[in-house]
Amino acid sequence: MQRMNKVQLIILNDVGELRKLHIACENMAAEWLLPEKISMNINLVLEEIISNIIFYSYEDDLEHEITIDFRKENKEIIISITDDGKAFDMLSADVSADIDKPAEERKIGGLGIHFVKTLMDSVEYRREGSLNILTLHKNL
Amino acid sequence: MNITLSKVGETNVLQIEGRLDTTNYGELEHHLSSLTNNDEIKILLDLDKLEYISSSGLRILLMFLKKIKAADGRFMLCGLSSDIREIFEISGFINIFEIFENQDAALK
Repeated sequence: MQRMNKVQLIILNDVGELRKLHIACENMAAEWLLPEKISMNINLVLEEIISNIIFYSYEDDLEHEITIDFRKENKEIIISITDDGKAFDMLSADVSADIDKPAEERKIGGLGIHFVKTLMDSVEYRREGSLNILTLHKNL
Repeated sequence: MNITLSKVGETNVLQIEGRLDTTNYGELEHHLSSLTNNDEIKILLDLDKLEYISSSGLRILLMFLKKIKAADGRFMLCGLSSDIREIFEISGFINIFEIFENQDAALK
């Protein structure tokens, strides 16, 4: 049987929708025979990105769609996240996670973007018209 | 996520099973608030059955670590799998928490 090498998931800007993301990552791991650690890291990074979009990206109270395209190549997984929120390039955002500071001095926040940059092999951002498109690469 | 509470001597042990993420971190926050509001500030989280943690879960841990340290209590962790441990390492949390192999080692 031919395995599919592309999967698309569309979720709404609601925190409860993150459960769909978890299920999609589990299905992807099973379909593409991914090691558990890679699927967990992809799930984690996507949760950070998408919860950021849900919490901070929209300036209205309307329903929005966030599209996640998963693609498997020979030696990597490529994931694109497209949203129609305000322009935001997390790669240039001035967010530090204070990871070397003692507990008392650490801010509660900034970790999500740190995970994205650390756990993926490369990340690219572009703005196309009214869309943010973030592309992640994870080597296998 | 399932949270099971027990008490061993003066230590409140919370066993966390499943996933701790943006959809459910409030449950852990609720349990930890109930304990600390009642001056129960000796707490051990057993993460042996934790399958997944995101920054929302880590934020709650940091919040209560600060609160409990400020009150001269102890907030300990044990049972981290290698995948969960890696998340703690990347976030720098490995250096700020008291982390033990298992419950026996933490409660000794």
